[in-house]
Amino acid sequence: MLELEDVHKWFGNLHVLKGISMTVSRGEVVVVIGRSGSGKSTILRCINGLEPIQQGRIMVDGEVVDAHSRHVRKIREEVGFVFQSFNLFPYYTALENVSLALKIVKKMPLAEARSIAEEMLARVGLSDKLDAYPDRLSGGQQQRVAIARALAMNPKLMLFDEVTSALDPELVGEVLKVMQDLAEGGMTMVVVTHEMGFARRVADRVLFIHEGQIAEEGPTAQIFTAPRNESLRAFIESIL
Amino acid sequence: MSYTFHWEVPLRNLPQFLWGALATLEMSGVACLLGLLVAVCAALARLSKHRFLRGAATAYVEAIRNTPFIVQLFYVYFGLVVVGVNLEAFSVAIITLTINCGAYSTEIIRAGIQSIHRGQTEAGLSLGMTHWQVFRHVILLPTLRVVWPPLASQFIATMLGSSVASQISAEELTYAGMMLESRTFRTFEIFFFITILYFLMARLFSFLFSLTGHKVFREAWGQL
Repeated sequence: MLELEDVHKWFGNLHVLKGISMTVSRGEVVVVIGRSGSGKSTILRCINGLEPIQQGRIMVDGEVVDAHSRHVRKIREEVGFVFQSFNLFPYYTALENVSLALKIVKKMPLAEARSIAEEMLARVGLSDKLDAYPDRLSGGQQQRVAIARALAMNPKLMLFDEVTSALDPELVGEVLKVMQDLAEGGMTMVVVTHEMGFARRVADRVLFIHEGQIAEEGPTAQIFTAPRNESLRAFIESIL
Repeated sequence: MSYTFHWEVPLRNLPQFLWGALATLEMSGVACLLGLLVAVCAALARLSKHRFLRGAATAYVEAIRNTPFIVQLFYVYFGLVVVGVNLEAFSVAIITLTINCGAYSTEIIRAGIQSIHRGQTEAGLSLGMTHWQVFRHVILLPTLRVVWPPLASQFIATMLGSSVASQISAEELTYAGMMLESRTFRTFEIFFFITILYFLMARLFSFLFSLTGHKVFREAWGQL
C-alpha cells in the first residue's frame, strides 16, 4: 500500500530525513513516535507530496509520488491528510468544508456531494453542526470536521499529523475515538502522535524516529515493554 | 435675501442630467470592474516570491496613493498625447479611474488574502485540488467575501471621484452641470440637483453591492 525506500530530505543544509525505508500494508495502522524535530511530520508531508524529497522513492499503491508532477494530485485524492492545526476553510460551513473538494475535484453533482458530506459528518458525530462555521466549533469538533473532510474523498490511506496536539486535554478523547473507529473499520493509517495510550490500543506497529532515521520499529507491545534502542528507552521514560 | 430661485432651469434640463448620470455610472462602473481585476493581479504581485513583481506592484500602489487624482488624470490625458495616442476624454477618464481604483483596492485585497492562513492552501492541495482551484475557492472567493464592504466604499469613492473627469471635458454628470451653468448661471439650483443625483447613485452602488455580496457570492459557493 505504502512504500518508502531510502528517502532523504533536506531543508537547505539541514538533513531532515536520512534514509527512511518503511512499508505499510493495507489495513495496517502504523504509529510514528519521536521527539519534536525528529522528522516525523516531514515523513507524512513527503508521502502526499506537500514536500519534495531529494533522494529515494515513495510509492502509494504502486504509484510513485513526485511532488513536482501533476500526477501528485491523483495520489492526494487517495491519501487523506489531517493537520495538527485543522486547517479548515474558515469562510465555509462544516458541510461546505467537507463537500467542497467533492464538488470541484471529484466533479460531483451538488446533491450527491451534500449527501456524502452529511454522511461523513454523521460518522464523526457532528450531524447537528452541518451549518456551523469553524469559529463556532470547539477544537475537537473542528478536527473531526477535518477528518470528515479527508474521509469524504474516500481515501485508501489516511495520514494524521499530531492531530490532537493543538487540543485542550478534555477534547483529545473525542478525536481519538473517531480515529479508533476508523482503524477498527479497516482503514490504512499512518499516525504521528504523542498519545501513547492511543498507540498502545490501536497501532499494529510502532516506528520510533530519531534524528531523521528509524531508530527502532516493531509490534506495539514490544516497543513499549522491551525497547532495545537507548534513545527510545529515554524517550518512553520521558513521556510516561 | 434677494436671490430668486429658478428651479425651472434644472427641471427643464432634466434629460441632460439623467444622461450625465448614466454616463457617470457607465464610466465608474467599467472602471471599478477593471480596477478590481487590476487589484487582484497587483495584490498577488505584492505577495509574490519574485522581487521584481513585488517591487513593481509596490511602486504602482505607492505612486497612485500618494498623488492627487486630478494630477494623475492630467498626466494620463496629456501624457498619451505626448506619446502620440489620441483618446477621447471619456476613455482617458476610464483608464485613469481604473488605475486609481486599482491601487486602493490592491491594498484592500492584499490584506484580505493575508488573512487566509497558509495551512488552508495546504489543506486544499492535500484534497487533490489544483493550485488554480485552491486560489479560486480557498483564497479568492473567501477573500472577496470578507473585503466586499471595504471594496464597496472604495468603489463608491471612485464613482464620486469620477466628477473630477469633468476637468478634461469628459462628458459625465458634473460636466453636464457645468455646461448648463455656463449658459444659465443658475449655479446653486444646478449643483443642488447634481448633489442629489450623486447621492442617489452612491446609494444605488451600495445597494447593488450588498445584493451581490449576499446573493451572487452565496451562489458562487454553490450553496452546498
